[in-house]
Amino acid sequence: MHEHDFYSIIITEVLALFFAPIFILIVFTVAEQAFEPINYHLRFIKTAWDLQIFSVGAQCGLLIDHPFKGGVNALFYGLSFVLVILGSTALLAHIRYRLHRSIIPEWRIATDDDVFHALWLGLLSLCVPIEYLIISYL
Amino acid sequence: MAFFLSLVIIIVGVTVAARYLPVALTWFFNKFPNQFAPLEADPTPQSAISPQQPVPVRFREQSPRNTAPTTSTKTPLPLH
Repeated sequence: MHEHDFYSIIITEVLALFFAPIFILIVFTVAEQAFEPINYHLRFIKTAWDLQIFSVGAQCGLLIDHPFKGGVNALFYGLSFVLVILGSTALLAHIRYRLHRSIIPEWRIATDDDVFHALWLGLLSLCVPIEYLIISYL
Repeated sequence: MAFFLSLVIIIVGVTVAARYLPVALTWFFNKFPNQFAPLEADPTPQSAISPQQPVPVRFREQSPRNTAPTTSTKTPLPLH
């Protein structure tokens, strides 16, 4: 594949598959905060969960689509990346479970570290399908 | 090689973004507060309002500007 074709395809697909949905996600998150104002910590954590949902959906869609385009080991990498996203989803679910269902009242308070960990997991999961998209064309 | 290099770049970028995005967004939403915030609860009990008296009208300007208070008593986010 020509180098110019590679970068143009990657940029186009990343723009179409990720930037536009993330822009819509940001707009709707701001709208949800407008008519359902909650604590900013909890809002960031819920947004990280939305990122997880989008990431696992995009990764599963790419997994179905891209092995048939001639990518080497695309199915193996795709399933591995799905497991990575599901693992980070489990960690984020643990944070949310502790914040809502813990029997210790102090553990129900969302701190800056909770926001950092949740956003770290969400943004990392968002980068996983982008990485898969790139390596499936290599 | 490019794969692992991109992994390092992604992890570093995600760490920086997850650290400073909440700070920046919290500053932004405190700078431009929510205009659709609900009004405060009416402190006047309904039994104290007779039918002949006009119902007190409360305006939006009486509500606090930031209606999404933080419940974190440990380490609140820095505003600047």
